[in-house]
Amino acid sequence: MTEAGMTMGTPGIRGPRPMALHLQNSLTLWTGTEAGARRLEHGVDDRWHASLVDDVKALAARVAAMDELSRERFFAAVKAGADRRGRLFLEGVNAYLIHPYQRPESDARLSLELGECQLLDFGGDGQPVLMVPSLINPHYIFDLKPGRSMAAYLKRRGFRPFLVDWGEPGPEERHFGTSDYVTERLLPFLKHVAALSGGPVPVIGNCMGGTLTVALGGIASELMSRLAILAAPWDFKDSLQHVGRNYAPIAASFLDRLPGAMPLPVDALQTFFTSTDPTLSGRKFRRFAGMDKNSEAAEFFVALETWANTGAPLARKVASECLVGWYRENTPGRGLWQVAGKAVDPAAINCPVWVAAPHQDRLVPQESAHAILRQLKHGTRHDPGAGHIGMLVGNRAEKGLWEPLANWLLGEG
Amino acid sequence: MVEDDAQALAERFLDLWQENVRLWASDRDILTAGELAELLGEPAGPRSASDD
Repeated sequence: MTEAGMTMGTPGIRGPRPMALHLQNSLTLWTGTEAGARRLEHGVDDRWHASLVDDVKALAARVAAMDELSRERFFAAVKAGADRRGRLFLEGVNAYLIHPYQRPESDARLSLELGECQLLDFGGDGQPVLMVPSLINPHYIFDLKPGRSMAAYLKRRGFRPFLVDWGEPGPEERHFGTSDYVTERLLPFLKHVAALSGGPVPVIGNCMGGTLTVALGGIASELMSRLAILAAPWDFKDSLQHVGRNYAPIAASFLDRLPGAMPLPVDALQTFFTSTDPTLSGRKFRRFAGMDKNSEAAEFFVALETWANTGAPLARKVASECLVGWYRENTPGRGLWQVAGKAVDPAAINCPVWVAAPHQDRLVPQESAHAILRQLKHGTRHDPGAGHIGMLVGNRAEKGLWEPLANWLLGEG
Repeated sequence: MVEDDAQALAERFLDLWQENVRLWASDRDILTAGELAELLGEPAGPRSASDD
């Protein structure tokens, strides 16, 4: 566990990925600013978003009221400011790439290995709890760094966390669909933990991992004492704004062009995430450029960025099920998602279920996650008061999520 | 004073410029590199030697 403070040997892949796209976006964003400012002299065109038009018109009026010399000073300041922002972004990326922080090595020991998937045991003599992360990003979002580790927190609260590390799809997993991941990986892991515990155990699933644990609960309810799902998407109906929905068909057609059993590459997923907001990495890295690089905040930035850029490729069938089945056809929400040969039915889960979903989550709209409450026998909702990732590792994670979750798991919440 | 005003207005313009891209990306779901270049009135990629 990272709390032990050991040092990891290899820094791993660092982003931002794909680097060329981030650099291109920054260049495109800041290169055309002076020309854009000069266009204001001819009015505010429809390239400005409707919600900004009044503000832009007000600014344009102030520029128009300037004398010629002042106006030229304004245009020069726009160009200089844009150059500075572009340069600061590069400085931030460079500072990130050379930052010495490395994630402390986990001292969790291997408890069970199936294919490329590992079940990691954080030890102790507490109540075993199974933790299931998303398939898309690395498992260690549950154990990011000292002070930002839900696993370490749960251990302090009397639990013995077992964390699933999906690894990269190997010869077997490359042919897996979501059903295989549930029946061939999660189910044996749950049986293993329940056997060690001597009875049913609590399960925590995050994001896509949470959706998978719903299916797991449907086929092994007797092995679960409680289920907590965190920002787990369930209902993909058209009225809900899942970011990337329009991208799903493009990505699905891209899948058809991959050779052999090649899984969906990480950079394809990262291209998608980058394109949901081309300004985000610029804002983040400019802020990082100004940070005290010895601060915990800087270490946190490096840890989180590295996590976000170190995902594993996604097995082709899983990618197709999610992009087409989930995003486009809403198979979970319509009761059509099949696991172990039958439709996943949340009502088949007999234990209490805790549904945590942030209201400001753009990746998984709160309503999508909450939709499952209508189908559960014993569901409780919780708003952790932070974003999709922030709720797990941010400054408010302990009070907003870890503590209420532990209380609920202990039957105190 | 005039210098300060031009500087402040320029920073305001750059903030609006950036926010404009963020809002369009949010509205359209995603904004690819080509769409970003189109929105901002710049060519989609670097010029090749054959362009000259």
